Amino acid sequence: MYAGAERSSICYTPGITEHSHGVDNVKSLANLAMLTGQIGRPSTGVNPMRGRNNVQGACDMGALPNVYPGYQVVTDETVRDKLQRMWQAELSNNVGYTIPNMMDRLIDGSLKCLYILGENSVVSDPNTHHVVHALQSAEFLVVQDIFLTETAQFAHVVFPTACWAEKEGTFTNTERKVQRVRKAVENPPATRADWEIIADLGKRLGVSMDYQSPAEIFDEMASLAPIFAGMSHTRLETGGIQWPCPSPEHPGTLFLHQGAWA
Amino acid sequence: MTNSIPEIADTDCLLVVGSNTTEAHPLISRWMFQAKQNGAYLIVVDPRKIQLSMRICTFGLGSERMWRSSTGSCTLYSPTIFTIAHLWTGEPKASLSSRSIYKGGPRKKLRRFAVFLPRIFVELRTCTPAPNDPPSVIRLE
Repeated sequence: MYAGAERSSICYTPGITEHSHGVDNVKSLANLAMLTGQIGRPSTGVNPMRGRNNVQGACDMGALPNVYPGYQVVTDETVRDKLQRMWQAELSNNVGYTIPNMMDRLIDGSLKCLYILGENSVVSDPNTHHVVHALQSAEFLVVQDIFLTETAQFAHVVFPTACWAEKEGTFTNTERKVQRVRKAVENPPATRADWEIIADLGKRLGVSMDYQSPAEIFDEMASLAPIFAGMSHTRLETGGIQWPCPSPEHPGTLFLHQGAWA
Repeated sequence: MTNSIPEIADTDCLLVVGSNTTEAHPLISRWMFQAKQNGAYLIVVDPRKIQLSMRICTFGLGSERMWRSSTGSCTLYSPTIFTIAHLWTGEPKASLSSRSIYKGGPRKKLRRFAVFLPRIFVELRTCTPAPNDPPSVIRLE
C-alpha cells in the first residue's frame, strides 16, 4: 500500500527516536522512502515532527556536535577555512561531545566546565541521578534560563534571560520555515536577551562580538550558511521562508531532494 | 521534514510511526484527517491505542495482540519497517536475523514477533483484514 501508492508520506516523532535504536529506526524509514521512491515529490518524504517550537532552528544554527550553521560539517577543511577567516579565530576540526557524553566526562573529570542555555537537563535528559551527579561534579557550571530550574540550582553562575515574547529573532518550525518573532512585552529589569548575554561574555573573553541587533547576527549567519543565504529579517517581515533559500530572489523550498539526493 | 505540512492533505498513503499526533501535534493531525477525508490510506505503527489509530487509521500495526506477545515493544519498530521494505523488495526474511541492531538483543521476542509478520503482510497486501487462521512462522536463522 505504502510502496504502490502514487504519493506516500512518512511522519514520525520521538516515539521512534528516543530509544537506544533511535538512529536505526530513522535510517530504516529513510531507506524505506528511498527504496520505494517516495521522496523528492510533493506529499511524499520522511517527515519528523519536531518536539519543541524551535528545536529545528537550534539544529539549523549548529547546536549539534558535528556541524556549523546550515549543516556545514566541522571536519570539512574548506568550511573551516571560511569560518576561521570570518570569525578570526582558530577552530577545532574535531567533532564535539554529545550531551550524554558530556555528562560522563564531567564525572570522570575530562570536562571541567559546562554552559547550559535554555535547557533543564535534570528533568529532560535521560537518567536523572546520573545527570545530577555529573552537574555536581562540574568544576564550573553556568546556566542561562528564564527560571531558577532544577538544573540552575547546581550552577555556580546563573544568567537570567528574557523569554520568547520579550525578544526579537526567528523561530524555525518543523517544515523548515524560518519565521520572525517580535518583542511583544518588556522583559523584567534584571533580565537580558540571550544574544546580549552571549555577546557580552564573548567581548570579555576577547572575541569581537559587537552586534547591535538580532538582525545583524542573522545577516552574518546568512552570509556563512548557503542554505540561508537569501534570507534576512527584512525579507522575513512579509512571511516565513522554508530553507534552502540560496539567493534573495529564491522563494524557499517546499520539499527537499527534488530530482536527486546527495 | 523533507516536505511541507499542508502537503500531508494530498498524500495517498500516510505512514505514521511512533507519534501520538492528535495529542502532541494537534494542528498537523488536522491535515492527516483531511488526507483521510480525501481518500488516503493511513497506517499507524504504535504500541498504544491512540486516537489516530482508533478513529481514522486504515491499519494499526502494533495492535494489542502483537504487543502483548512481545513485551518491550520499543525494539520492534525497526522490524516493522523492515517488514514493509522487504515486502516491497520481495525478500521478506532477507536480513531480519542479521541486523546489527539485534546484536545481543531480545532474540526470543523477535521470534515471537515474527509469528505475526505474515499476518501483517496479508493485511497490507490485500487491504483487508487477514482471515482468522493460525499465522505461519518465519524461521529466523
